[in-house]
Amino acid sequence: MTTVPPLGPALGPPLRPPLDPALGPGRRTLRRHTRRAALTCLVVLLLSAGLAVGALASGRYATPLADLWPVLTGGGDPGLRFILFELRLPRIGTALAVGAALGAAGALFQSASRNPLGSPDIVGFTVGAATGALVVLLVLDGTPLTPAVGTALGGTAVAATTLLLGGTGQRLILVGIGLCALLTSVNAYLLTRAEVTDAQNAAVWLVGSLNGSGAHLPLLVGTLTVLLPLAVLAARGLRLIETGDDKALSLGVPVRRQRRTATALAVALTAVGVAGAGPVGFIALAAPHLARRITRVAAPLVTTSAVLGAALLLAADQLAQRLVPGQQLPVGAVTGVLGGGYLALVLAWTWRGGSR
Amino acid sequence: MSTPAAIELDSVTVGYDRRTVCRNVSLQIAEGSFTVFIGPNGCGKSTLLRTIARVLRPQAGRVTVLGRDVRGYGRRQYARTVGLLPQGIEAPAGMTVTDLVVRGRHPHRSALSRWTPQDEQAVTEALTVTGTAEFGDRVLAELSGGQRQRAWLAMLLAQDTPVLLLDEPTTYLDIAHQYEVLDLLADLHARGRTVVAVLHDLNQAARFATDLVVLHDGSVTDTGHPSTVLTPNLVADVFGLRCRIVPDPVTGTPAVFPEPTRPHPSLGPR
Ligand SMILES: Nc1ncnc2c1ncn2[C@@H]1O[C@H](COP(=O)(O)OP(=O)(O)O)[C@@H](O)[C@H]1O
Ligand SMILES: [Mg+2]
Repeated sequence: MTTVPPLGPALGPPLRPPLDPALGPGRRTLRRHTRRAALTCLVVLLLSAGLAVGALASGRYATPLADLWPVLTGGGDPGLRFILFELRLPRIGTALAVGAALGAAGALFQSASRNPLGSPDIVGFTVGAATGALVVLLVLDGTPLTPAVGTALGGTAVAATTLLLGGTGQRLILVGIGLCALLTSVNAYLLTRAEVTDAQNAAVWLVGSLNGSGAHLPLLVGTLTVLLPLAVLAARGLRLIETGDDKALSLGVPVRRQRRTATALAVALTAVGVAGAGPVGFIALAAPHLARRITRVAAPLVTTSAVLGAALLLAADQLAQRLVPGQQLPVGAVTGVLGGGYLALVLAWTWRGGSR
Repeated sequence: MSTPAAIELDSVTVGYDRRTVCRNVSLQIAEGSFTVFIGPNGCGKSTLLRTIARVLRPQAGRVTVLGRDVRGYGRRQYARTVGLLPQGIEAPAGMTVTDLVVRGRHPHRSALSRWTPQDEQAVTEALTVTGTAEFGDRVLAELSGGQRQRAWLAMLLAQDTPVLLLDEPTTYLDIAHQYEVLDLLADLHARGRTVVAVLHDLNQAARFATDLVVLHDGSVTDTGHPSTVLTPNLVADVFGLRCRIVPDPVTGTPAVFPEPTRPHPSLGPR
């Protein structure tokens, strides 16, 4: 009994060219994505520029825009010169650099972990950074190590440990949670052993702040110039990993290697950001999330996330300086509140509107 | 053996970490065949398919595809030869159908090359053939299960490989969509592709397969044309189900009808 399997509706001869590749659906989709991402970047960059000018002109001593120009071009009042070049500009620059680093790091993390809520916290970075700062402030007090270096080292060490022990996927998250719990109690112990003033000082470091920052700006910018292009390259591979490990492997993507590279870059970027301003929360989570919502492109948008992260942190820092008159809040407090609110909104939305 | 083997497994042992799932499996899949893997849940069908796709590395043994050891292929080169639709694949958030299908071209594009007319051709054809062109700009998560499955198939077609591996491509689809997918696979097979699929429905397997591969506890227990392989004894041995087999009234292929089961003793008489 041999039977020929029934054929479905005849497909007809394969479609033949002439098919202008510019008009096909593939090309159109690709071009639309590039346009949306570029347009978003442009708009956000313009917004950041506006914000930066506003930030330069305002502060404890308001500066009329007309007075800014002579100072920026090399002349002007020496007092104003000092305020602009030594105080305001470095702070704005640091906010932008740290925001960009955290935004890009978040984009890589979310994509590499295939988790829209993925962030450096998954691998225990923030808690490790806090431990680093506490150890420097409370234990190694008097050594040349600064809390900034402590946070970066602590965060990186914990992230590296988590990644080495946890690999990827479910186990990574569990190892991350375990290490976080462990270090949280270490942190609490360290704080109970500290003098009150030291503990207060440390508390600001645990939230993340741009007060008095700016000394490391050239180093920050230099590191970012190397890391950001690498992050953009790493994101190209992640684009396929988002369709699932098996699918990506079957498309010829070296999944493990690319995920490892992307995660390492994300950790490095986070370390840069944390060294600049302490463990500022939610930028790494919110920037890539917003980038996807605004552009409606399903891909790790490193550039867009970096630009958005920069704008968000600058805006948050301006808010932090103004929110309570006569007092400078740490910027981490503002991003925490805004980011928390955003996260709650998004979650509520997602559950109400189904999967999206 | 008249046709050469597209895929050849030579004493392949494969599993996860220290756990071996398939032991010492040798198997030949003919070029141009429509081969269907059947077997109970957890018997190693997916494991074997993933091994052929080079997603899993065998602990021992050798896999040969189109006459060449799979370890001898480059990554992209292999991805231009063998395509896989994994089981239970999840839609990435926010991705549209065309987005997905465009990604299927990955192995044909080098890192810096531009989108070529061939890429566009393959994508357009994949969208047309699977009937997904009309909702190409919709987000995957918003589609019905059948539409989504066709989108994944379109992605697989855009990859344009001579060998297609599909792990339960009809699961979760209603009966009309199941046959739609199977008809599409039959068409691709008729156009010369080697199709290897895991199917759960034995009657569908018998209708569409040129060759059945029966898996049980990680070993191949039987291979051959459905009319010779599918017997009441085999179904009893492999699935533990007593059944009768009659010719399918439409195609004449074997069709499986289970015998009535006895009620569970604890339920008492019916
Ligand atoms: N990623 C994995 N890690 C460990 N064990 C697995 C994994 N995937 C499958 N298995 C085990 O391997 C066996 C065979 O699984 P699988 O090949 O998926 O079966 P099938 O596809 O035939 O239902 C099962 O016992 C399953 O529990
Ligand atoms: Mg399976």
